[in-house]
Amino acid sequence: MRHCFPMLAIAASLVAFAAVPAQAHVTIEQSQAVAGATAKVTLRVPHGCDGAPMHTFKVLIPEGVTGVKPMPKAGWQLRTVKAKLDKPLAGDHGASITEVVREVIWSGGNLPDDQYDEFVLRGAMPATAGTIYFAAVQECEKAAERWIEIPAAGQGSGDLKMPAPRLQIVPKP
Amino acid sequence: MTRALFIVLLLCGLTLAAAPVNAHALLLGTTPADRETLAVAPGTIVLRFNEPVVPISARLLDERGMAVASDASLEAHDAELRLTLAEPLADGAYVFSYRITSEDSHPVAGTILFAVGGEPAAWRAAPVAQDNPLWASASAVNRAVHLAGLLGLAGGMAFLLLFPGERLADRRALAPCLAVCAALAASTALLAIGLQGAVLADAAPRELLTAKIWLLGCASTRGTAAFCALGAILSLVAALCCGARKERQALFLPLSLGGLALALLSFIVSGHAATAQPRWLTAPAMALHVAVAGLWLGSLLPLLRATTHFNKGSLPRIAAFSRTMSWALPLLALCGVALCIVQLQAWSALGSSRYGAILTLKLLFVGLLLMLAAHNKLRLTPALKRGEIGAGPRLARAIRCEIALGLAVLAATALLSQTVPPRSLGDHAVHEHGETLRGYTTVATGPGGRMALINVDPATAGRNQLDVRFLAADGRAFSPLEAKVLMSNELAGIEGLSRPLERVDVGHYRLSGPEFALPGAWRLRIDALVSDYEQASFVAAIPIAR
Repeated sequence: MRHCFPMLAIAASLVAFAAVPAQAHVTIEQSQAVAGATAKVTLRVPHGCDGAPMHTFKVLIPEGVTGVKPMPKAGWQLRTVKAKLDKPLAGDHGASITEVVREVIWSGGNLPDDQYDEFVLRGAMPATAGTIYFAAVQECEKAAERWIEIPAAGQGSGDLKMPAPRLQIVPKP
Repeated sequence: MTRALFIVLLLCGLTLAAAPVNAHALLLGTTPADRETLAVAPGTIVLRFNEPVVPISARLLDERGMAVASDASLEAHDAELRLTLAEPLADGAYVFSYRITSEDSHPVAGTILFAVGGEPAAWRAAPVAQDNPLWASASAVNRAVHLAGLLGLAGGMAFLLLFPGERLADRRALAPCLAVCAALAASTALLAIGLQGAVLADAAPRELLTAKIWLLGCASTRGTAAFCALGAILSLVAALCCGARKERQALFLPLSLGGLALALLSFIVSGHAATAQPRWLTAPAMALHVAVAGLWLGSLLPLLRATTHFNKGSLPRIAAFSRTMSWALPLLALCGVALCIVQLQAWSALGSSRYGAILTLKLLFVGLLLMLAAHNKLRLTPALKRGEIGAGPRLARAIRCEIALGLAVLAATALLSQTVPPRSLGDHAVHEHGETLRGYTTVATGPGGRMALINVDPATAGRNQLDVRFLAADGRAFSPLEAKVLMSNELAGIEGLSRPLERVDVGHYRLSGPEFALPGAWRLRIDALVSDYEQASFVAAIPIAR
């Protein structure tokens, strides 16, 4: 009887493991980042779109995130779209930030529907705590998958069909 | 030791199981396919998903919304959901609605439509909501006769006012002609009321004689216009009667001026040219346009008489008319161009729309008429002045041609008044005849102060046209990159019916089809992709009648 326990446990965990399907949403690996600190953001892309391979991945940088530097990827061209700020933000060493990266675009690549990839960028997180959303778009040959839904007040991300990848900003310790 | 291992493994399993699991089941395909028409009734309905699913509910409804009475059984084999039909389905349209869950316990709902035994009537493309051709053509003919009659009468009277010759004799001589014009104008004004009622109600021919149709016509702006015209005709005829008698001369001027004013009013209270925005421009432009055109065309009959019954009074009148028209015609053209710009909005519409084509035809006739008028002014009138032999008959012939061309212009104008101008096709809210959009209309607000004007026509179960017009916060139309509608009817058990909307025009999107298959309270969510990263959703409830 005693010997049965490990076997049962292994069996149970295997069952639990098998029951977890691959995550189908585009999500951010890091669950949280510290307000005002520089952090790495890894966007996990679990598939192409509905059977077709993805050739372009676009991310909208949320407001308040500055100094964004995307990581280049072999096989993908990297481009950023910058935007002038209406109200300059305070940067490091008393400098003011007037221009930020608004959009990061990896294009010309190929992610088949049955493969997984990650897209990485880093930047300075907003000064205030809260949840920020990195709206992302997967572009394929004929279709696009848009992970752009932001939950309304009182709504959970689980209620959304195509939620935007989110990152929790926690106050400085 | 083993207990420790057990706990570690259990925790490991629990952690993995508790990880956010986001995969919803994805429908890969169905048999029959959505909106498929089958020749033979299917034995089963099969839904294929990308992962194993557990059925929650499924409903198969016929065209009347009745659950199909068959010993249907629903079973799931891995990723396949199968509904076996015990009895063959009768011919007709069916709605199959399902709700399943996959391992993430997230319910997924959807609906497909299919038909058995040929395309059902409810699916067939209904004729685009257009005016009944019978009433539309009857209206156009009636309008043409009315225009000729009223302009002939009013223009003739204006000519008598502006270029008086031998007052009494002239009025008496022209009276029979003007009386015919008056009779035509009055009878067509009356008939226009009934025809407008019939157009609005899309009535059957025999219904034209019912009071309902005529009351409907009276209530429309065309009805108001017809009453103005009738008042004008009465007043002008009275003026003519008084004017032809020596003892009642004093009444001629006020009666004819009143009549002319009413006649002008009849043109600006109705019709899409005079009621287009901005009205401060279109109403006066229309009044001036009609006044000059009426004077021109209405003068042709008296001029013809002055030419055929040539006497010493004729020449100064012809010359005076010619002088007046030389400054009045540019005014006519200017107003016409202003109205054209408002109606067409873009010059390209001149070639691409039906309205533009008829307008081109009208302009062609007007061009010919102008050439003829120029010929009369520059050649024939001077020849008449010089007393050349045969100048009178030649001028008379030219005037007869002018009358014929004038009637052609009026016919084209009448056709134009029955055609929806490009402006209105892009317009929202209200149709130019003053009646609101047909069917059911509602407004849904979305994020950022955006609005969606939603119209479902006819809003009865079966084939419907769903029109959505997107407005930005500043009230301007905006075109999303993509728009789709999610439809559900909870009581009927229809959920997750998703359809793309087709772009018709700037900010105007449409779905035409049998999706509103059943009566009841439908809920729509319209998703508009504003930019790559922003989606605006609009939610509306639409009641669909039986």
